[in-house]
Amino acid sequence: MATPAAPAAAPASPTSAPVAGAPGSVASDASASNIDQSLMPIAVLLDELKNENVKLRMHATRRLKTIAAALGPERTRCELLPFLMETIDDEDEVLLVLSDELGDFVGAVGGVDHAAALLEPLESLSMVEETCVRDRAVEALRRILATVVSESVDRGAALHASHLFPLLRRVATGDWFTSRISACALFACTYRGLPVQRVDLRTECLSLFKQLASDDTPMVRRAAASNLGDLARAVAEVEPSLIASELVPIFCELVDDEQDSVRLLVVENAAAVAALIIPGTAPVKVPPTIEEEAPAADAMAGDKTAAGSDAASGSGAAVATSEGGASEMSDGPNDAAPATTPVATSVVLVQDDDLLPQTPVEPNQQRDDFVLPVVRKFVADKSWRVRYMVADQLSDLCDALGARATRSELLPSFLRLLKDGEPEVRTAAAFKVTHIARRVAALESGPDASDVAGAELLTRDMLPVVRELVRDSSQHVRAALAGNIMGLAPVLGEAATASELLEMILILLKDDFPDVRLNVIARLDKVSFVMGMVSNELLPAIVELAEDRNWRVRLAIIEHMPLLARQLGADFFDGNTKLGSQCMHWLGDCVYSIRDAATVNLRALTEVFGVDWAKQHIVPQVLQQFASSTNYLYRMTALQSFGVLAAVLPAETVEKSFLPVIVERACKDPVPNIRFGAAKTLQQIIPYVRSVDVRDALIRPSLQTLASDGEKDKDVSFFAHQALASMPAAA
Amino acid sequence: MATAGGSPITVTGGGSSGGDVDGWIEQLKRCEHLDECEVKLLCAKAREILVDEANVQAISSPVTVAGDIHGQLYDLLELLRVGGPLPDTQYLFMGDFVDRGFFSVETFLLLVALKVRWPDRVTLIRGNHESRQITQVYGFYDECVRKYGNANVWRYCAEVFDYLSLAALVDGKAFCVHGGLSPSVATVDQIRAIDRKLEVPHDGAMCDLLWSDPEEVDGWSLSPRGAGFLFGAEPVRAFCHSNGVELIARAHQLVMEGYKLMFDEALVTVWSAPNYCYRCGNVAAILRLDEQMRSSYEVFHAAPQETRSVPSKRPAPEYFL
Repeated sequence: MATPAAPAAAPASPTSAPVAGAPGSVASDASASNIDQSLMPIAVLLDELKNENVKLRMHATRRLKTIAAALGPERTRCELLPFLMETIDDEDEVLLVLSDELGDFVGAVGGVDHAAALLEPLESLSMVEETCVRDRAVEALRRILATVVSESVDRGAALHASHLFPLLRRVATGDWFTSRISACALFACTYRGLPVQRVDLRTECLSLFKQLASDDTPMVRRAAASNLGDLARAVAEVEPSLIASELVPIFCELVDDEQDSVRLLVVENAAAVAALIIPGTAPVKVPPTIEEEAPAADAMAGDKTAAGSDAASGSGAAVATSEGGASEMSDGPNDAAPATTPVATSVVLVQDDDLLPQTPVEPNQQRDDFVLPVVRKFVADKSWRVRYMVADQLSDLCDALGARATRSELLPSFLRLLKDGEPEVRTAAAFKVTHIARRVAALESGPDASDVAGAELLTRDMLPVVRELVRDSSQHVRAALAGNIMGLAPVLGEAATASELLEMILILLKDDFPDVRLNVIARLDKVSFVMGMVSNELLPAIVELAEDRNWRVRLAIIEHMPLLARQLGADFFDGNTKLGSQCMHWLGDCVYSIRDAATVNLRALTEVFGVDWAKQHIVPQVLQQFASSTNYLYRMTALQSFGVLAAVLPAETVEKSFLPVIVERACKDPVPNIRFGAAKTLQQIIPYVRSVDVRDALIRPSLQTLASDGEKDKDVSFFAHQALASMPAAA
Repeated sequence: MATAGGSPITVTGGGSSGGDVDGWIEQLKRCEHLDECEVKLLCAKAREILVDEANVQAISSPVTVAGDIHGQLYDLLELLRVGGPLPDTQYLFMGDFVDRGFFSVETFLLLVALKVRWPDRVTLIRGNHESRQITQVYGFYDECVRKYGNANVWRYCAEVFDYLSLAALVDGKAFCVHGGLSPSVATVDQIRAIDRKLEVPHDGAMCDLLWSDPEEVDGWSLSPRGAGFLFGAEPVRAFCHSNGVELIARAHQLVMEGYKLMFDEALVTVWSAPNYCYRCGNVAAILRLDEQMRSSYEVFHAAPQETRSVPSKRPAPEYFL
């Protein structure tokens, strides 16, 4: 009990509990007189809200709707909310839950008419220090506004003007930077929701945002940069013409931010903003200011490009003065620790499905004039993190800017990034090779002689650079390329793949670094004609990976075996071939996880090649493994394979081949682990044994022996009893 | 291991279903610690089992022997991926389950839960860190207080420490102990006579078994650790000869290669905490003794980053990109 008034009042009367300590509260004697037993749980929850134990407070906070429902809308507004306001200095964990709950609280306070009552507590929550709490509070605010709008557009618009906008203004001009960070995430939603006629408020919105974009605190500018795209979308919906006149200048200012962490967020938003710039060829809609603004922006960006490239070429003392000490500081530690990039960790790099844009983008001189210098500038940025982000975003930029820009600017930029000095940047670019190649291949030849068709551009300009990367000094670059290069085959077609690409794939297949080889093999099945071309070189690569010293590499190759089996065919997997014997060899691996995966693989091979093949190439081998292994761990693996294979082999094989070994040998093994392993395997194969006679004559007596008093090991009798219990009753 | 344990255990494990314990094991493998009351229950069950075990627990081959774990839960899970799961694989853990790593609570409780679930398949013996005094200095105590807000869980675990066996003998031929030999112990029977159910003393046979180190010295020498002794080839030869022991397996010392044979392969150090303290860069090993008492060593690396989580109460602040 944190509050002194609570102990006496709360358990008896839930009604007076929430108001304890709340300003202007009235302990209502009227309701205290008709105490309802059904309200007791509520009283307990209210008590918990004030409990010293954080866990209990969180629990009660999660049930806020229950409390509110019991109190009714009016008391929720007048008593519960003020009470909650007082808890604002509570533990962050509780505030996190509170923010979440308040987002769905419109019903509890009496519907959309009273939604405004929720904004005040959430405003306070959006100003606290803890980031997670603020994020959730902002999210809750947006949810509440969306709820109101979905119910009534007019009322929603009114609420935006009367409450949300003043809230935004307060938060955006807050003294403490955390509050200004929260504000950045509210602009898009406020702008979109304001009544159409309130041009004044929308104008103020934009000027507030502009202020935050040049805030003294870098964190605030980062928040502005990351919300720029959202705001641009909102502006484009309401007044598309303002994108060029209002948002582009803000964008340009952030482009030149001294902090690389801000710049890289701008890169992320560049494609979104670029796509929204309306064609300058639509004079009716465009106010005259734009005509003035656009060239100015262009000139500004152009100037700075020059400055940037000066800096990049490192022209003496000018660098230090023009770029400033702050950016030096921000770049320094990051460049010192390049290994922390996310790309360095993953073994198997997944290539996501990438769709080309459906509709071609109209040429737009104004957009190109504005965005292309910015791209050029970022590609030459002195912070590798910014260049990394450009490499990552370049295919989106191609989509936003269209064919002409792709040909003239973006492809050359991409090739430059593929040759970047930092391995992290080359890695990010290598991930995008296929994405970009597909966009380049889609280019049509133009009237100009230099506008060659995409396919030619690809082989003439791009592939030579990619060929360099195949022998890159960084294994991560090669691994990224290996995971992506296979996508080029369909783009190039069969003939060009054979003449241009094959050589690169073969080099990667012989790479020193296992992840590189693994990534090639993992993608082979995507392009069956390549599989045919490389099958001779494939085998040695697989065999080498199959014996890699790192067991996780071995595991990864086992997991690809079923796919390879489907592509290569049974000839490659017969017992006397290297792959076939390798599959059996894994059953005797020293690492358990490999043996385990090997049994699953045998089942998959049986499914691919059929039962007859398995009877010849798998069954005798696993029986042999059981018979000849002197170490119980390998007999255990054989037992495990019997159980797994029973599901895909005919009942006859299970009964004739496996069952005698289990009953005669495994159930009588000197090692108790094998005996209970036998019991577990018997339980596993019972459903696949058709003959009732076999069950009752062989399986049941064996299990009964293992379950009897003659068996000294408790675990053996435990598993035997368990298996017996799973058996259908005797016939 | 049909002969192990002496009197039958009635708590759980073989012969009855896993009940709560199976759920606890799964929870601990996800690196989520148990509630205080569950720990109390689990530790009580563990003590019931351990009280019946001998000071020198007799084990039948085959068995997989592991050395120090030191709260590195994710590396213990990696060990189980390499060595095989319970109950299929038989295990002997030679102490030092707690301290230094991030997850001493989860590591120790997982081992205890496995012991309770499969008493005949797992053997735990005591290391020098299974002590009240040491755990208050090297992290386990602080971790308990941090995770539970009080020292009760530490107290329950410390009570279990007192009941752990001091050594194990596999088929009468492989003597397994955390530290090493003691000048006051010439025969295994002398260890059997110790009253072990107490805090590890500062000297004497029980202390030496948990603290001593093998070293290229003549006979016995003072240990720089301040407890236990350094012992050379001669004491090892003598102990093996008088007790019919062929191999002494022990842990207690970091070995960069995971295991290290000494004294004409009469003694081996097994170390099972890869990348010790998350910074030493060493590999770890387990020793497999098969049915014919042939030994083989399996070396393994620290669990890769994507299989583990780093403890953090809050997300990184936003200035920490």
